[in-house]
Amino acid sequence: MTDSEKHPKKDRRSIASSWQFGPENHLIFVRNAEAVLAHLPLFLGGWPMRGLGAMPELTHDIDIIENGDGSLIVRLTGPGGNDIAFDDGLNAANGFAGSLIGAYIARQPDTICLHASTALVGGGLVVLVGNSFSGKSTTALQLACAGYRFFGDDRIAIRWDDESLPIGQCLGLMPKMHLPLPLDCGAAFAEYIEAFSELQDDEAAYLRLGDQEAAGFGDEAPIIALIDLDRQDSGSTSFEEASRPALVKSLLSQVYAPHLDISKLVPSMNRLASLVPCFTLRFSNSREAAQVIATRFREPSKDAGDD
Amino acid sequence: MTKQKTFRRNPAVTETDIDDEIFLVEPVSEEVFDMDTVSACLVPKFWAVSD
Repeated sequence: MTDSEKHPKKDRRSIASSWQFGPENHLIFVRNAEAVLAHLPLFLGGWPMRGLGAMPELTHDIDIIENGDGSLIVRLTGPGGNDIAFDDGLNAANGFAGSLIGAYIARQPDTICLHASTALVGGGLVVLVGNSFSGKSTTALQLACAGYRFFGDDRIAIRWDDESLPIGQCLGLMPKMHLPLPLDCGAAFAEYIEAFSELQDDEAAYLRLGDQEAAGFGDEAPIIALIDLDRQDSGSTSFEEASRPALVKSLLSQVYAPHLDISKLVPSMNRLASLVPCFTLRFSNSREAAQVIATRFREPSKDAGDD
Repeated sequence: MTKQKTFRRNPAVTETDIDDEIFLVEPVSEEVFDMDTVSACLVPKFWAVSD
């Protein structure tokens, strides 16, 4: 028996339902979202969504194709469009969350998306950027563990308000923490991760924070700092102003804006780095890094409360 | 006889000054070249020769 006979390709596109995701002014249409809906709450929360029934004539932004052997393809059309294959529904749901955000960002000409983790400290958002494994999620979750509102893991949308000041918007991605936890993360942090874990596997804990702990999809706040994280294997924590060119380079490597011409992105990132104080945080211990951020940006009343 | 190399400025390349550095963007390949303080001093001289 051939592979194709054992696993006949199931083309459900003709019978799959259509779904709409997102706010009314930026609706994203998806075909066959039911294939990943069971796992989606692990990765994405707070997005308005509605089933539309079978609407084959509708132009869909995202198509989820089931191959019949358990594997799936998430197909994003439009700017930044691509096909990404996944072995199972869990991973496809994770990929779908990313595609949904990609489509949502591409709908808004004045909005970009940064690969960053964010927390609300004092009067605004502290946006943590940096390369993969630079500790963005860990540091933001350390801030959440210390009582600061978690505002987004992995990605944040940024737009400019009427006074041309940058505003961050929560995209509703659920936080994920790499496992095992660092030995020096602290007992309180380990308890926090355990308490809010929805699912854990060998590599990660998938967290579900409550409304008290985290912002929801669409919540907005002004950005008060951009911090480029530089995690070291050892050594003490240092926090200093970053040069604007260095920060722009870092932002350019972390920005997602498939709808914008690359020549517009450099001025756009320069504008962002010009309007917001920029810092470099060198650290080896994420708990200390979070303490440095909290001390620098928290409001005076929070000072009094913590002491 | 050696052939002399000449340079011509690509008009599609955009230039953004950020402090003492210059960011050049090549729109077709979508590459971004950042010229540090030293090399940024050379860019206007190159343009002057190639224009």
